[in-house]
Parts: sequence; structure tokens; C-alpha cells
Amino acid sequence: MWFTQALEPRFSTAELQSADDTIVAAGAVDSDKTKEMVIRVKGLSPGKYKVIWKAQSVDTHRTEGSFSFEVKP
Amino acid sequence: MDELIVASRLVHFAAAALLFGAPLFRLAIAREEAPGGPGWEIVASVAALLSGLGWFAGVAATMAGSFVDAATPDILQAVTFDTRFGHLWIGRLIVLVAIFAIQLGGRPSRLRDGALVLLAAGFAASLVGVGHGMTGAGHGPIVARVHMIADMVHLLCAAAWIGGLFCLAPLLHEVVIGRTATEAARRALRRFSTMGYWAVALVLITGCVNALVMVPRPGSLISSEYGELLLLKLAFVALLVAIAIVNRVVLTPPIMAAADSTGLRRLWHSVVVEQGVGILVLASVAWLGTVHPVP
Repeated sequence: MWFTQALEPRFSTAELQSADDTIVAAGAVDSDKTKEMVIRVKGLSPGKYKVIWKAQSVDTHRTEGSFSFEVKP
Repeated sequence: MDELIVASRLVHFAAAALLFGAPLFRLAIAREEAPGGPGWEIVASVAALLSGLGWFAGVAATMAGSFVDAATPDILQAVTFDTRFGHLWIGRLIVLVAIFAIQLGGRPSRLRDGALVLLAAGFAASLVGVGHGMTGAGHGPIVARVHMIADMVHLLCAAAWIGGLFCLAPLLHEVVIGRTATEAARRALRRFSTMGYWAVALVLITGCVNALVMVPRPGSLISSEYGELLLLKLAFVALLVAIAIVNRVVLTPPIMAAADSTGLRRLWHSVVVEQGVGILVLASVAWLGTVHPVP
């Protein structure tokens, strides 16, 4: 995920949830690029997924959001 | 949380303006007058400390989710040592302690005022690091650099202007009640006008630079909360500039020409009003900082 400002790694989170709301993977601010958050996954099984993110920018603003996607077999 | 941050920012801005503007006023405007005791500046230092702590508490609560969540050693430590806000706050606290030590310890002298001006300039300009002055980063390194410098100049000129008013008003009052010679008021007014022209011009120019970065589309001035607040601030600034022009063009010339106690009193009142409008500008900026800039 790309943001327009640098993020505070300690207070920015991202989670990947499967359709039954279990957390599949957690992400973090990229250690090299502080404007990006990354969730690393290996071979997602088909189904619907949701990413929930909270971003704390260095100018102390807090934003959050989510988006969904589907992995087709 | 936002209420605490807005209130803290307002007090912090006013205190920072006074900490910078008062020694600058003694150095550049009221040179001949015996440098008075630190008085209000010590109050401003304490206010800057308390409002800085309030601001920190508000930001920690924003980052943690609530005040209760923030009030743990773990979170407080993380906000202090692991965020840019925390790092900057440590540095600014050290500068503030140095200012405080000089206020209490140093004997009134030009050297002391010079040191206070430099330290307070750092204290005020470093606010860019936690504000929207960093927003330019989204437009590439050159825009980011220009925006940051413009923002610093903006802050310092505004602090010189509004902080200077805090000193000009009491000086005029002393002349009105006859404790200081009219000539002192004339000298101060002459120099303050010159400084005022520069400060206002630079504030307006750097303000336009910042607006170009922060509000890329003019339409968003009326379609977003950030834009509406910015218009409110600009309305206060317009009023501030209008009062400054009336002071300079209408109220000051008669005082320069002849002993005019009514005119002096009128100007003193007008400067106090100008100061009040200056506080309104700071209040709108305090609020503006908690609103998301236009995307």
C-alpha cells in the first residue's frame, strides 16, 4: 500500500483477513520505504479477503481504511 | 483529543511568538530603552512547556487510540523515542530549558537577548517538523525543501510580527500614562513599521507558496473542511493587515508630527485590537493543524 506521506512504523498497522474474519497475515511499514506498508503472503487459497489498515503519518494525522479483493481458483 | 491538541497548539504558538518576538523587539525596535526584566517571557516559557506537554498527550492519545490506552509506560516511551514527533519534542524541550535558564540566570544585555532570539527562532521554526510543512514530501524533494523553508520563514515572520505586538502595546501604554517619553514611542513605531512591512510581505509571499503546495486545486477551498478553515484564517489575516495599515497610515503620522496624547491613546487601543486579531489567526492555525489537508 502506498501513502502520500511518511508513516510512523510503531503506530501503523495492516491486517489481512479471510472471509471468516480470521487474520491471515499482518503487515508493517516497509523498512526502506517509509511511505509504504507491506503485507507478505505466500500462496493465498481462493476466497475473499479484506485488508484493514491504520496509518499514522509523521505529521501526527491518523487515517484508517479497508479494501477487499478476491482470489479466484 | 483534538480539543486538547487545538487548545495546546494555540497556547504554544502564542508563547513561542512571545519568546521570539520580545527579545527581538528589545534588540531591533526599542534599542534605547533599558532592557526590562524577563517577566512575561518567563510566563511564556512555562506556558510553552505546559502546552507542549498537553500537545504531546493529545498526540499520544491519537496514536494509541485513546487517553487510557496512551497512559502506559510502553506507549509513552514509544511515542517519545520511536516517532518523529517524539524526537522533535525532546530537542525542543532542551532548547526551551536553555531559554528558561538564560531568562532566569543571565543579566539583561544585548548578548543575552541575541542568544534568546536565536534559541527562540529554533524553538518556533522547528514546529515545521510536526506540521503540514512536511506535506510537500509527496511532491518530490525540491518542492518539499522549498515548502519547508517557506514554512519556517512564515512562522518566524509571523512570530516577529505578533510577538512584537505583545511588546509594542505595553510600550505605547507606558508613553500614554507618561512613564516613558513620547520620543521612545516615535522611535519604536518608526522601526516597527519597517520591520512590519518586511514581516507582512514575507508572511504573505510564503503563505502563498504554502497554499500552492497544500491546496493544489482552488475549488477545494470551498469543498473541504481544510479549505474552509484556511479561508477563515485568511479572513482574520486580511483584518490583521487592514488594522496594521490603518495604524501605519492613519494613526501613526499625527504622533510623529506633534505631541498628541489622544492620538497616542487611540493607536495604543488599535494595537491591542490588532494583537487580539493576531490571537484569532493563531487559533485558526491551531485548529487547521488537526484537519487533514486537501488530498
